[in-house]
Amino acid sequence: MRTLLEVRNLTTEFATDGRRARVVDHVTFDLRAGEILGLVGESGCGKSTTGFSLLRLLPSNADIVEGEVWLDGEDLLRKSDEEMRRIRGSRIAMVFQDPMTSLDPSFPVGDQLAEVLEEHRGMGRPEALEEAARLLRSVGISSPEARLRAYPHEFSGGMRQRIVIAITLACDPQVLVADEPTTALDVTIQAQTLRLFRTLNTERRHTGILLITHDLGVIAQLCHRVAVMYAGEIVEMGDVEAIFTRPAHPYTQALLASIPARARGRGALPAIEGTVPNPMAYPSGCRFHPRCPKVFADCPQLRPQPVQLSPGHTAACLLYGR
Amino acid sequence: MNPRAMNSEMLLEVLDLRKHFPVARRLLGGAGSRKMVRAVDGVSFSLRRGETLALVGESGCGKSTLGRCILRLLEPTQGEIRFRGEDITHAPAGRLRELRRRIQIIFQDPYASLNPRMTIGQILREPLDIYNEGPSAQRSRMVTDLLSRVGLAPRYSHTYPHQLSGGQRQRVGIAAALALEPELIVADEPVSALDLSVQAQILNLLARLQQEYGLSFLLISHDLGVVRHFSDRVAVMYLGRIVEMAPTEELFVNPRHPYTQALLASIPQPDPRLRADPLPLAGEPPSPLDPPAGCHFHPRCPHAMPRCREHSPPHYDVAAGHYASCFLLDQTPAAAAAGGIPG
Amino acid sequence: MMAASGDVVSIEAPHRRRSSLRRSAAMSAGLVIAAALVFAATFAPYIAPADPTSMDFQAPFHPPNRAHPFGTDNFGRDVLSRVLFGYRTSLLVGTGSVALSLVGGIPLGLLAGYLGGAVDHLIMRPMDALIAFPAILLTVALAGVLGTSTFVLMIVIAVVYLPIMVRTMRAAVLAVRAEPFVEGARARGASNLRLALRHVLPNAIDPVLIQASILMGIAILIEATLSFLGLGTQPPNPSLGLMLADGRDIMRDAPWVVVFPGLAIMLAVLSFNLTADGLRDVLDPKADRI
Repeated sequence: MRTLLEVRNLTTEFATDGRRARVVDHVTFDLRAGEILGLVGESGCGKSTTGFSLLRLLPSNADIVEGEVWLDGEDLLRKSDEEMRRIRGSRIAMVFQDPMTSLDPSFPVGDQLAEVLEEHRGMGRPEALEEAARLLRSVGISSPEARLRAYPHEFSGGMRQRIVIAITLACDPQVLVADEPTTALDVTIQAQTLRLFRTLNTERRHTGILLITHDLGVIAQLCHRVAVMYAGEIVEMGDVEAIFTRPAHPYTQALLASIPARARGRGALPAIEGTVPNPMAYPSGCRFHPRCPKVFADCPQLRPQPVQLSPGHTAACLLYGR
Repeated sequence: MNPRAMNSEMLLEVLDLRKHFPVARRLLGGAGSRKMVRAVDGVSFSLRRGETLALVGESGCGKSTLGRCILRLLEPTQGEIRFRGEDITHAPAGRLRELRRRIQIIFQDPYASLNPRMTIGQILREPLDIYNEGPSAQRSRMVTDLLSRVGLAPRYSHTYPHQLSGGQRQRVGIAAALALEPELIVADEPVSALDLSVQAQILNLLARLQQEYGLSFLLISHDLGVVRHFSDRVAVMYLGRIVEMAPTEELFVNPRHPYTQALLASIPQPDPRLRADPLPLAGEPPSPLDPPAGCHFHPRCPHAMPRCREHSPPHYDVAAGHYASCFLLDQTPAAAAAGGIPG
Repeated sequence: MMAASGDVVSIEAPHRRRSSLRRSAAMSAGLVIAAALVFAATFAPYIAPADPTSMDFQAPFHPPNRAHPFGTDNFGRDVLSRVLFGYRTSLLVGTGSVALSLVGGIPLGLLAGYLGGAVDHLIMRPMDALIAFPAILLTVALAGVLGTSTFVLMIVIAVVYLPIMVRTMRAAVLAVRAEPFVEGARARGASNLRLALRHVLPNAIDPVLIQASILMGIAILIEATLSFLGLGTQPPNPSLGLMLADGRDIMRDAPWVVVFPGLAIMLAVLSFNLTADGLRDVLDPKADRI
């Protein structure tokens, strides 16, 4: 499989109250064509910010201070705003969490689809509308020609999310970033949406999908590879089976153990003590050490680097070397 | 959760409860009847002391509305609620005041469930002051005692909600619910907004408190993993009605209503080796404003039969304490002849 | 105060309670200038170089000089002193009308929003009627009926602005009333009175405070306008608007007679508007969303 996206040492900082918070810290990963890579972690781990950094959609108080994002041989971080505007939506696109606010309520959905087609693929209006109908059908919306004229509020959450997905697919992007795409949806609707992602992945082998979520169930069902984030860093990365059956990093192990669905019996769930650290005040050494059940003397002193445990499986933990 | 709940006192009984909300009248066409949102449309169940009953369902199923009716934050349109044998359905304000001590609530959103302008101590103290619990001088100590029960240090008494993390705020919410020493707590999605690692902490806390204080929980949740871990019995709701009720393990191992089956099949399992690709349930959860006739689920049901469009199925017993409202379970010869598949 | 670390499933950008440096600079500037104006107005009798009403027929139409930094007007009165005393009137009217509209607006908005139903209608329909009138027209009409004086002006402006205060308060109350923490307090025994005063009001007051600071600027402008038209402050009481009216005919020859009062009005309104903007940014509870 061809490598589409190479992210190297991506580092993003937020400035607040005069201080800087390093929300994404030297994140490095690859995304291959036809692959779904899951980026999983809890709130404050930096996964969403990583996604936004790839598209350079950060708020004014955030900066990418280091790193490279190679999309098909071009470093996106070196692009001008104008160039980025052309790339965004056409070569790399994003599906956001909340389908209620992702669509402009003032325009019919057909117009919103057509706009993207006219803008990025240079189509004329009639051609764009035809293509828009075809896209709606491909995401499972019936009678698409009639629905082109409908406004977002006339659709339910699940259907809106499909429309958003259709818009992102309009230009056949190489990379699709999905940030918590099913979190706001009901369980049965989530199942439909996950199925849609699976179908898309099967049909579009030239596209890579970066799936950002906190839901380990979604990760297990959809992803080929998984990167686990904690406190701005990737602490473990590998094939989905390896991560779920042979988790190496104590954080990954603890996270998996605390899922109620995986709990054996009714006793107390093995919970991770403490809380996620504040990005303005990360612990010294390994950022997980204050909460780690396997902590030892070196952990507060040394910053662990990713160590390869087997082909394709790395973990950043001093237990496995420095 | 605890077997002794099996034979304990009946704490709460809900009988054919209905809550309808009138929708604004249309301006033109005066003869048109007022449309009603039938949020809760005939729900009956009971809850024993020390037991946890879960209400599960998706948006629009009425579980939150039902919870609020039981708390009497909403007044039911029809039906009965009995608490410890007493009919509280239309209890007057004075009686309600006393009832508030017995039935409390925990909210979903830790960021919106605490008054941002009050300190934690003030929030916890307020119910003690209102109900004159203990001598006034003791109340600060009662507040720190409540905090320690939920695992928070006394110093948090002087902090404001925004200084606390989501998990800590949820602990405060639990402490507030415990302040008046209730017997029943309605927990409305108590961990849905929390991270996985914090969810486990809070669930453990709730379990411990239940053990210590003999609390009963009405757990409202859409997260079946949480439900399976924490509850004794489960009621599955769809569009204002209970479609299936069973002891927890029984429900997960032997679901009989097509909706329950679809719901369970929809949960993404956190195990990549169990990758199924079942056809998910088609369609959207319908709006309670315009419920389908007959069985509310029939438009989406893969096993719908003609009679499902016309009649609403009654409860059919499946096993001890397990029933489902589905004509598929109709074992009468006539139904079998018509093609209803028994079991 | 430490920002809470999130363990809630939501957008992750670190919570910002203060706005960026850029925006708070505006508020700081606004506050500083407004404070300076309030100081000047309060201590006008002590810092004014001359008596604003004393006429010096030997020295009319003097351009700005050392003795009279803003020059003198047609009666030889010191313009600077008149501006300072004019500020007194402006701020008096501003403060008075804001105070009156808050005293009326907060309780009415709270009752309408919290109780709803018939009470809401009873309060809001007259407010809707009031809002339908253009402000200036209403003030002129009321001033015509009630007479002209600074005090009347205060009442008139308060009445004209009352519907906005009530609406703002009511909208905020409706929003806060639906919050879970109010429901929670109610579930723990709080009476309606306690809920309204202890839980809803403190959390709904912010937009009203912002409106109040906006009103300050508007009130100053209305006072100047009406005084300019002869319907507000009457001579010989000092008023910036009156100064503009008096100086109209001699503008070409002695521009300082209108320029300085004009700048003064602008400065006052600008400073209060900046403060209002800054206040809105600071009080806005929403963290920056990506």
